[in-house]
Amino acid sequence: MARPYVMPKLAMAMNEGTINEWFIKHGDKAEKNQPLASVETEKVSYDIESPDSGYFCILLQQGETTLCEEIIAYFCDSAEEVEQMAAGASAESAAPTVETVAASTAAVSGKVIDYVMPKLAMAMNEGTINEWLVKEGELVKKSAPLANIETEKVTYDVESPEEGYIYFIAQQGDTIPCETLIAKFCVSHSDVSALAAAASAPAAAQATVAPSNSAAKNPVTSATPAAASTAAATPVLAEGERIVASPLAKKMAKDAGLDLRLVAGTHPTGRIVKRDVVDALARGLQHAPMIGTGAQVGGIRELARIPMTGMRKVISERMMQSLQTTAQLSSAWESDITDLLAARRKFVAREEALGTKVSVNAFIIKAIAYAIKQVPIANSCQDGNDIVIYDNINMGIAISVPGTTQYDTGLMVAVLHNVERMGLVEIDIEMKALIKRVRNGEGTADDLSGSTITLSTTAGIAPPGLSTTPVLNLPNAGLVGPSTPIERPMVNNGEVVVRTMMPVSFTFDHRLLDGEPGSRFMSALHEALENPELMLA
Amino acid sequence: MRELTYIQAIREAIQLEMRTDDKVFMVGQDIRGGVYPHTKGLIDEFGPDRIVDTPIAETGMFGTAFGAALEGYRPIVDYMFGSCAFVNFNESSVMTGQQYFMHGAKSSLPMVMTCAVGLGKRIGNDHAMFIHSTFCRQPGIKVAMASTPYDAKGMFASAIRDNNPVMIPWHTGVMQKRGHVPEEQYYIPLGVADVKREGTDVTVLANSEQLYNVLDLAEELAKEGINIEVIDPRSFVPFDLDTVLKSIEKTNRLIIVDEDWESCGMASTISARVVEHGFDFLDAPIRRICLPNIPIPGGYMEDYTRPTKERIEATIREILQ
Repeated sequence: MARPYVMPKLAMAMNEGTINEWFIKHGDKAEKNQPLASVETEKVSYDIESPDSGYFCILLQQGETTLCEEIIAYFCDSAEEVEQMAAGASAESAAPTVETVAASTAAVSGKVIDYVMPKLAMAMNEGTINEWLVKEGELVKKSAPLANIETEKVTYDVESPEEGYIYFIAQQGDTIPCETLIAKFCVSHSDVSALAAAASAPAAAQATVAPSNSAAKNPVTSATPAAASTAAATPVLAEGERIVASPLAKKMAKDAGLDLRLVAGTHPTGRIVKRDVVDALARGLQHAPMIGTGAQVGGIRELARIPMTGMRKVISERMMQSLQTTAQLSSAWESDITDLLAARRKFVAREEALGTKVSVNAFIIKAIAYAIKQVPIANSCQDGNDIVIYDNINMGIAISVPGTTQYDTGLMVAVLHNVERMGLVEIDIEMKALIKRVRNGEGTADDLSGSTITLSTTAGIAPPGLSTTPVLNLPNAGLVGPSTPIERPMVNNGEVVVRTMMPVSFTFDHRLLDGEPGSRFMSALHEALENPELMLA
Repeated sequence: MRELTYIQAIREAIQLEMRTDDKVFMVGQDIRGGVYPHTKGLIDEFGPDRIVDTPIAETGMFGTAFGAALEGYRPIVDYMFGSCAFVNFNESSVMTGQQYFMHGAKSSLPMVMTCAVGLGKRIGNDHAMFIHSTFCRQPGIKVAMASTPYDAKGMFASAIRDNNPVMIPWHTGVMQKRGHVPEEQYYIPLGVADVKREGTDVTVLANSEQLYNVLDLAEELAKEGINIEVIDPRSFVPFDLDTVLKSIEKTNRLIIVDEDWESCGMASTISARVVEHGFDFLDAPIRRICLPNIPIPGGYMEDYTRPTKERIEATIREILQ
């Protein structure tokens, strides 16, 4: 059976290597300890010796570069196998064969049950293992908490579907597509050891399962950027506390303008050493001003560098998709909400009795529900060649959540289902509970999916009177975007009086909603906002 | 390529220099016969006027050399064992080193002092003790120790040609090491270190038998991806600080293996200089692996005192944490 040979990690700082020269020809027989290749790293060239013997199948050609632990060749048992491996490699771009896995698990005596990244919600494509809740090699009972898995939206504690001794293929921090192998259940602890040995010896098993795993197992490249960034710019030390750092780390920090109070030391004694500074600089922490460092002139300085991963990546993709696949446009107007606010004050005065301090947003949702009843096509989506008009109203509510650093934010759409059946107070109570759940990361899959129309408000954040052009939240065809009200002199019953005017935008998809129904919807919404008693309808 | 043992290389250096310059002569105990073979047969070529055999009388052999050097000769004093140079310590170190400076810089003192030192042969404190650190502390004397046959010939030749007093002991643990030695005369300047192996992760300074231990270890640890840069200082005075600084600029870590006593030893001096001049290169405290400050015990107990591969390996792993 062919044994994979990976790019060896020849130095602590080595991330990738280049084959300067193979000292052996493809297909030739390699003897153990014979000179195999000249490998060039970032710093030094090494002549490496063969760790094994066999007919040698070269995948990585001279002059090519790859990451450490990536498969670069195979030791085969016969010249024929070399050809098979080479053919397989070119056909599947060096994807490993099933046989390789079989070979590496050959020492396993009992049955092994695969455990894949579960698909926890319809919209879930991949999951990040925040934490394994069991230790590798441990006997896991069925239904015991197994792992904490984060999706684009929600974090789940998943339970074990099997009983067995667990062997991890994916590590904490790894992001893995759904239905991809992340662990195995073995019948004995020794089988776990056998799997681990098979995996670490040729480093084949994990490389075969998912290419991203091998990268994630490499401590240099995994680095869990989201988690690392969370600590960004948060001082590790209190003011005045002594910084324990190596002389080199101090020098590097000073040269880069990095405040070492922001850096945690990874030396066993807690000392900040070179690698910590290198890591901090890679994370863009050097913005912090150092006492005595003069202002730089010219050039650009980074305040922070935030990886576009996880939620940010999803937001980015959905926004682009929304703008590129629909014919959306926004219209804006102002509604006089003076009466609405007066009505609200009556509710607020009865907060205790009602059990909630009814918010303006609850009124707006109620008004949207009223308007949809007048113009149902505003509550719709395009499904292939069909327009689907929904019977119920599931109000998507865009909420801002903290980002990975102090500088960025996240965005989620919480979904309040069946608002057409709810009264104002119920809407308010349910909406607040929903937002709280989502903000706390306790939202269910239903809390985060199934919207039919979206509410995205910038009220209180945007300057008064601003009209916005929000981007549609797919697949919804409509989005209502109220903003911060402004007091204006208005003509009311022939007199100029001060009225509170709320800017409202409506973004809609012109593919299925023309200007005529769009305008009727806006008028209906306007009507309800200006005449809150209509919400009783 | 011709190979010689280390001790043969010393002999060849002395022989060629004596042929080149009539002023070069040797004085010492048992050099006519040759307890150690670096003088073996020289009596036949150069006669008893230039191979001056003496009783065990260090003051006498040194006095002969000292006077002759002042008169323009280039004597080589062979003390046989390092600690014997302490019998006339005032003369061999204090007077010798300071002569030129204390007497109006009128006459140089071109003399070589040599002797065997070294743990590992279980020959007891007096025969095994190292003396380089002690002599390094005396101003005006150059101090060097070669580790390989090639270095031995080139450095002994340079020592003989040097117009300063030079103390150049040799380690009994390396005297039978074989290696390439060119037949012609060549000179390795005193004060130039040699990078015996390039590496990236930690710099280890080692000399004589410990150099071989460290090179073996470097070979073994390279399989784990630990790349050790190994430097042989070769000379202690003058000391090639630049080569060490250049190395730790790359590796950021320094370990000094020195078989002399830890207290006030050469390892301490090197550490201090590196901290003074290369502080900002260091990512970890400098580590010294030396002989503890006790007399060298006889017999097998010696193995528990000297730097060993295990101690060096453990220190390398610690410093890389």
